[in-house]
Amino acid sequence: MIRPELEALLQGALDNTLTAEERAELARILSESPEARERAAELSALAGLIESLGPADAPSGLVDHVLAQVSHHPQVRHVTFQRGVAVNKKILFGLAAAAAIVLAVITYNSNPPATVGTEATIGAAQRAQAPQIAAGDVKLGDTSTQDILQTETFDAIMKDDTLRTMLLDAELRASLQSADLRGALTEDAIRIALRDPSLRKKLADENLRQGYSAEMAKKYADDANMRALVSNRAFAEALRRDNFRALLNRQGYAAALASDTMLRALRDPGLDAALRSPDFAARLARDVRAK
Amino acid sequence: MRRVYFSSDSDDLALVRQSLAGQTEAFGALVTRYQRVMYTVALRMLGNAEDAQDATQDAFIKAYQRLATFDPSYRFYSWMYRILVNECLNVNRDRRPDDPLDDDAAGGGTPFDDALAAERRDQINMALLQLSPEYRTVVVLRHFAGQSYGEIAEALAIPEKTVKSRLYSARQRLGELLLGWRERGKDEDR
Repeated sequence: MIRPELEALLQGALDNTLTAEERAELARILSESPEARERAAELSALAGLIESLGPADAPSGLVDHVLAQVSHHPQVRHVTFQRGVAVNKKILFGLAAAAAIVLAVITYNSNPPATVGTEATIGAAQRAQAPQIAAGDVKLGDTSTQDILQTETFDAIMKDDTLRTMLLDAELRASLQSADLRGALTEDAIRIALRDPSLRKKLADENLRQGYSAEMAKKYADDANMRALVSNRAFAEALRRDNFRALLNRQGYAAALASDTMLRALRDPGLDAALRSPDFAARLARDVRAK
Repeated sequence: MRRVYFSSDSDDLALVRQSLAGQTEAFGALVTRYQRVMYTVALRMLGNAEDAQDATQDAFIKAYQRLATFDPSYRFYSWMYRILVNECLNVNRDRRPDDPLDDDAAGGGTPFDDALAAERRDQINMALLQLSPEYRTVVVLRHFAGQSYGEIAEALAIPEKTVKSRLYSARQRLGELLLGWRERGKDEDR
């Protein structure tokens, strides 16, 4: 039976919401519990299956159609209160008329006077008033990373749906901060191995958790692709991590890591800084939504 | 709680202001920016390309008409998602149960591979449509729009805790439908 706490951690890992402490706790549980590992693999497989549907291209002419329509549909005019609350004019006039009638009735019948007991309401309303946004609240991104985001390499990543989505994974970005792993991913043998259609099946090998070892290289003596992966110390160490293997298991991710776009990115001296920048992740997330 | 603007949202806000000032081309830029993800969300919500196109277009037109009610302390796309989801739910209510699903898969493999892939996509689409609208909405916004728990909560005006709980239940149900997971009891918001 999977405990609710573990399920919450696994779902959090899937949705990239875990803190560093929670990630460490999950890693510890995964290293100790085959059942937890099985559940993690199940969830990862499900996410891969759902996302295999991928994004759909908007129908051609949608923008033109919308713009043609809006030219015949004027915007509803609104009166805006000082604190940014917008109210339809018709509603406003209706409320004003209703308030006038109520006031007239209360004034006519009032005993005690109508103002009694309204102080608390006014006080509550004043407490509920939100302060205006001040200049200090406006956070602009880290400008030192803006240059990186203007490069052709970043533009190419943005145009590759799979690569862009994959790089949204915080743990992958953390893994790629290793220069050794980035170097491994530029090697031809590893890039060829990542394109092997049978790779996903082979990643189920529990022994990959052992990491870099002579035994693993020996085990895959007859499989050039797997031998290339386990014989590279940095890549073999990355394969020890369940999250890394789960990512490679997702539809198209391994091939995206071996793509020419990724190769150009890996050779870009700005990539390391970009991977460490929250602006990079924010732009990836924003463009996934916007594409 | 006071909200904070990030640089990525400021572009949208500028376009909204220009649209309100009568520059329809600015609204065109917003439609261009969001048409793909909005259409994808509609398609996964409805499973039908024609309905998805109608819902996406109607959502943008309603957004334009109501642009003056947009509260700039929220994210524009969260507001758009809310309008779009409501459009999709209205289409769902009007839909005949035997309306066909659309296969939006692109070919490229052998005919046999394409047929297998199309069948698998049909299964996934059908499984999504078997979810209740509440569960389907959070799955679609999370997996196809890349929205965080907080963004989904903002778009649907529900607590983050409810987003998490619906995602858990929805995934569990999808796992049962697609991967044969063992049933873990009746789904309900925790």
